Amino acid sequence: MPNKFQIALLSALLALPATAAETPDSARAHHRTLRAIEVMGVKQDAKVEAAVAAVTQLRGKRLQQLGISAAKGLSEVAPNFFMPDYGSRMTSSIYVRGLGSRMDQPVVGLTIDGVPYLNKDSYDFDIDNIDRMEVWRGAQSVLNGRNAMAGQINIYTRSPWSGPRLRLMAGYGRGNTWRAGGVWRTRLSETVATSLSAYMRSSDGFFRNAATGARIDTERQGSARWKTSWRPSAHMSLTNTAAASVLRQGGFPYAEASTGTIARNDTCFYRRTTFSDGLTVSWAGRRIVATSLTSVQYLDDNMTLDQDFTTADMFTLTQKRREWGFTEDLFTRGSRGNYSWLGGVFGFYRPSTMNAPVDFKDQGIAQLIEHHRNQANPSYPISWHTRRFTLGSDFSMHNGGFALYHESKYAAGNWTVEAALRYDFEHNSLHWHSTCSTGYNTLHVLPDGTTEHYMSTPVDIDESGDMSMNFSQLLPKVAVSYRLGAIGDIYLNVAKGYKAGGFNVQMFSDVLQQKLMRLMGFGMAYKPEDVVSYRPETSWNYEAGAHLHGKRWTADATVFFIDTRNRQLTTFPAGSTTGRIMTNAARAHSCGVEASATWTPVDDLTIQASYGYTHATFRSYTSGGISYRGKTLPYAPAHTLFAAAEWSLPLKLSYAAVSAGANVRAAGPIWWDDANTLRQPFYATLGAHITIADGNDRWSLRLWGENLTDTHYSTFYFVSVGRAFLQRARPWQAGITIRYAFDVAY
Amino acid sequence: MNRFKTILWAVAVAAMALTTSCLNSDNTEQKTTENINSAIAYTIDRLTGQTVSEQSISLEILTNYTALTMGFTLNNFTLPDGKVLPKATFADLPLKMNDTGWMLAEDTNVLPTAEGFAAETMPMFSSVRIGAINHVADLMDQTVVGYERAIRMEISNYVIYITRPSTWSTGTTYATDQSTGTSFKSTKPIYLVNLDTEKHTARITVYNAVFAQAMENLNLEIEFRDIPYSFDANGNIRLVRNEEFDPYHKDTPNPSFPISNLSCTLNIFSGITISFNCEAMGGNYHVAADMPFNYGLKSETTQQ
Repeated sequence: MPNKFQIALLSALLALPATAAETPDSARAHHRTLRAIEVMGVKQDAKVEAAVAAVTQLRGKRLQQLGISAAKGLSEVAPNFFMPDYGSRMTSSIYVRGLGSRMDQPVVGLTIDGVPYLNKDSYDFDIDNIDRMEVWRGAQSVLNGRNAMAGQINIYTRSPWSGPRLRLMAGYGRGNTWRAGGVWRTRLSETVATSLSAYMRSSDGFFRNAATGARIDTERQGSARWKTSWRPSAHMSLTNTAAASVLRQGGFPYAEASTGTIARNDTCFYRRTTFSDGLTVSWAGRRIVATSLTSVQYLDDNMTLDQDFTTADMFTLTQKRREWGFTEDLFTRGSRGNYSWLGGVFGFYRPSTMNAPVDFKDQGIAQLIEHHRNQANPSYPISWHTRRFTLGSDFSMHNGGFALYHESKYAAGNWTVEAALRYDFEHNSLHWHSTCSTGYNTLHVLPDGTTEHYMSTPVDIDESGDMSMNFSQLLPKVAVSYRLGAIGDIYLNVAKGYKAGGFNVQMFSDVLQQKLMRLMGFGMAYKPEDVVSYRPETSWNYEAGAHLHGKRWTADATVFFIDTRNRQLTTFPAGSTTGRIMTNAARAHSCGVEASATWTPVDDLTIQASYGYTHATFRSYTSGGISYRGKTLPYAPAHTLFAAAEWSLPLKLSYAAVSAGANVRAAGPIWWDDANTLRQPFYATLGAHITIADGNDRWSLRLWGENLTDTHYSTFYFVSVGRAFLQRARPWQAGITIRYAFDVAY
Repeated sequence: MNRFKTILWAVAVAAMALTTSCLNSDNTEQKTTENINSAIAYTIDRLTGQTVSEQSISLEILTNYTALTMGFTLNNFTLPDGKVLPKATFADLPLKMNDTGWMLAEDTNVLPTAEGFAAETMPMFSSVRIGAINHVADLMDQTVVGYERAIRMEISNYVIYITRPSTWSTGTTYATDQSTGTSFKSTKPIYLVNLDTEKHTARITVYNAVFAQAMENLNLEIEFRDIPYSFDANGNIRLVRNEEFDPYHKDTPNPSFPISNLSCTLNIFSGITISFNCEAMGGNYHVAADMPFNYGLKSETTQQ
């Protein structure tokens, strides 16, 4: 029986336009449960099938069937949503409808239990105890602000009110990969419930460093989450979620494209420690709900790379960062008659410090510095004082902003009209300090071929500076939907998206290298602000879609067009022989279609499929004097495809049921460069599972497999120091996962 | 900061600081005073065309924007007859209208006022002209400013010229491949001329040096050192070094770009012209540039 708070909240939510049946997510699609109300979903449409947007939602059991425990698992399942697995868990590159970013700001926002994660470098982590995951595609900037230009991912963990239980999980798979976790949920009183979850994963990976024989992509991670919900009255609800995680990862299994071999002599790793706490306070009146969502986030990570990714002693990079994040979102939602609204104010502050030295080593000095210099003056060649020196960089950054937003809806008969507007202001400042103390000798080649010392030149750099930028954006949205009776609705949606500007401090290594060359008399010394700063990127998203459903099926379809302006890119200035800069250099168009469907022809069988097609091209973009107009945007697949079948086998044991599922994930082709000269063809992988489970959901044993076809494909491509590198996808994997739940008394 | 900018900025800042600090607070007149601590003064015998003397002096330039006059004071200046003027002021020369971008002031039959010198023996200068022009250029994304000051005085059969021993200019550099005849031009190079009055040699520093099209984006900085200079009968400063020599790059000679037949003329009221031959990037190039100090300053001219 719902409590008074749940009734009040339901009344407020039900003032919104209602639609028909729930989305079936399992073989038991017709079974309805009034779930414990979670206030985190209040900001966006509580029922995604009523949204005037393309949304893919997967719930807990389905996520388990597909073995999804992180946002990456939704790749291809949500049409036109692609999150490749490469590099490390720091490289959370997400591509939606052709839009994406490998550097700095993301195009997709992420919330976990309503807490917005400010840094995409912390997007990729495993979460157990997931209740549901959503991928909203298209511009979601009006409600979610900065960096939701192409979409929004919302992850919700299970409510502590879900029933007192202790769930344990253990699993083992190929690559010496084992997982273990547990969730304990209990009600401390009639008004307080709490849950505590812990998760660990260890893997030896699948790739080896041919130079040392050691495994490269090892991973050790652990996390814990403590969630407490308190309902002191019929109108009040407070939920606090504290989470911490630790990650130690090898990562970066990049193979040289010409040989297919991973071989390097310097270490590569990624280490990360995170902490977050989010407090949600809601007050529900008869027709209004007011919510405050406060969060604090901490990120401490260290990325160290053999930056040439070869066995040569060229150069290494370390990037150590400490970052805090504070957010506050105050919003109210209410209704009166056919009119409903949502309005709020959001603010954030994100201070961080970073230390990012680049070490030049023997062969790097020889090939990148001495060789170029000595080509210009072979009679007086130089020789560096030492065979190793450091270009040091320290940064202190402050990023903050606020936003005001409002959304109004009016329902008249079968029509619903929405209009929304957001004003977003952001300030970004950077203090940088670059240092280098080294030097070189100039020799004189004598007629007999011997050399004599000519002069010594010290190279001392100790410079610092400050930069700041302000951005402001008005982000409107207009949408219209029409209910087609019980079968569903259709909609039109026009919205503006926005990706924040800022400073890409990774480019400072280019600034320093250019400075070094300039001190030696070559090249142009770039102004840091010209190289590392970039303005916001904006887009206009136009889409039309439909959400349809019947007794045993649902279907969604969307067509879209996106006009992106001031696209953030790294380019080579016209005429430059060295050095790249961050810039807003391009305009792009993206158009396509998306379709997904779920069909349960009989109670024991569910078939699911989704398909996305994107045609994304540059409309204007010039780099190094070359125009790339008409070229396909790289790194995003033209097609994504997902198909799955889940069935319960007719054979039922006395205490268990057997189910099995198979799925196909496919994507491609993917161009690797702006000039569209190299690509990954369309590829597909097969996954499957067989699960024996207790009928009361007490225990389960799951045998699973991923990429059972052992499809070979590449997930990433880049060029460094004149060499091309690829990362291969993980080979076939298989394993076993066991779950057991204990009922826990109050 | 490199040597070029160090020199220019030191001069410019000193000049501007002094100008600013000496901005007359008189309620009725607006004046500026500019100090040049080290200037080169050379005297040409108009009859023979020979250089009579060369000396280093200091001077102050006073500009009255209200009265539209310019004047200057010379310190420890030696006249052609050997007499030394401890301090001589040529005041209130009327500014002349012109559209060249220069501030030009001149007068005839000018009798300076002097300290420490008997007034009755002060010679009359048959003509005195002073010119000033400021010009700017972009160098490595920073704006550099040049303050050209030039004085010409006639006394008896002598002409005296006074200017700074360091100057720069830019314009269009033409590089012609001697073997193919193809020509390439660039407005990137900036030429800085430094006169060493003790050694009586000059150094020409070329920033963004372009001798061939392939060099345009190298942003190379090279120096031509130990170039003898002299003064011609018209008061121009001539820098000539015909034999082949190696330019310097970051204080290191570079035999990869030998220079020959170098000729550079500095007209202190006009600008710099330069020409030389260079072997570079496998070719033999003739490089020439005509660079007036008012390059890009006229309204109908934009820097290409």
